[in-house]
Amino acid sequence: MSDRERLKNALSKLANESSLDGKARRLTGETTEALVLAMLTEVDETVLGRRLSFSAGSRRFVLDAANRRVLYAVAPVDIDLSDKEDPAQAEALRAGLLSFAEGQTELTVTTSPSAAARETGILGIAATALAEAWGLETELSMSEPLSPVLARLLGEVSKDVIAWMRVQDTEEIASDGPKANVDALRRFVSRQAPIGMQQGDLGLAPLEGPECVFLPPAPRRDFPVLMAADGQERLLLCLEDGAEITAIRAFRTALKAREE
Amino acid sequence: MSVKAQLDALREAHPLCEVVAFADVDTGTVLTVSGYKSYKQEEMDWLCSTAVDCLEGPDRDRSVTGVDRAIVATTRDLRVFLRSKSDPADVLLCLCDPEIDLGSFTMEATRVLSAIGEAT
Repeated sequence: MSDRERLKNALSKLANESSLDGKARRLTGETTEALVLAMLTEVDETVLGRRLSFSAGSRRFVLDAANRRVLYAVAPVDIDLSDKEDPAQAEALRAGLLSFAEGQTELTVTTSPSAAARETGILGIAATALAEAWGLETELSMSEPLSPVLARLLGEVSKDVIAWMRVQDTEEIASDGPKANVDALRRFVSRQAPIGMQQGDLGLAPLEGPECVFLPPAPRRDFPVLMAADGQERLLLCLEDGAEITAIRAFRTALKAREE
Repeated sequence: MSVKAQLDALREAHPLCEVVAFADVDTGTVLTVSGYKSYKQEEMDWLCSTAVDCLEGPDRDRSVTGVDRAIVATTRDLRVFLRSKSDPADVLLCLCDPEIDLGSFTMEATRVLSAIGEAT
């Protein structure tokens, strides 16, 4: 699968009701390790909380993943990686995946929203870290995972998000949503915008984070915007009308979760 | 009812609002403050400056942004900035505890700002 296709798949998974949910997709690999790597690639392309169900004949291996990380193995083994990086648990996960993939050259995977993955502080173990620890040659991860605060914010408000954009310093890392909205967010960031979105509507400078700024619709912008910052990383969300309280509350919850 | 009395009443109705100020953003002047404690002028100037950043952008051009409300959430506080419909230079600056009922407070603060605009 090309980087472009992987990126497209990764972005489509960010929607609350992903177009990929419920559709079985085929994963192939000539060796057990290649199939395990294909499974980790699925994890790596999962940003918002998702349950990944891998099937080989009548056997299933089910993972909860978020922020490109494995949080839980649900079946057939029960492994909790949601709040720690436990080498013993990671090794148990490896054994489970190898056992599941052994002798197979093809699997199917289906995804579904996962309440469990959305309720956690989104720690877990990164797919890239697992692949590296297990000696699997990989080209995983187009970019670093979102900061836990921003990932959690995105997860909490996803149903109210029309479009989003991830920005590092002033560089766009990723975005998704209807083209018109993404373009508006792009202008918002670029400071090269035509009238109406010029200067990003607000000074980018004051945000050092963790902070978020909510701006309601304006005469030349018919959607509210939430910009959240954590360090140099910024997440811009184009929201549904009336989502401000939910969004700000979600940001506060994400901050609290990190402080705890 | 004076502007100060209206700000006091707003804060008394919402105890988690720590300070509310009425400012003229064209001159960057904080005109009236109501708070649980006295704030240094630099603190109020900073709050006013943050409001201008949010409402008018780096170019200080409100005809471009057209934003009349901004809410900033940080680890420590919630800042609510509201612009008057009757005079765009008039802005209400509010610094609140993060646990404040934001919906109710914003609605009431908007009403107070509107009342101030009608009276002045």
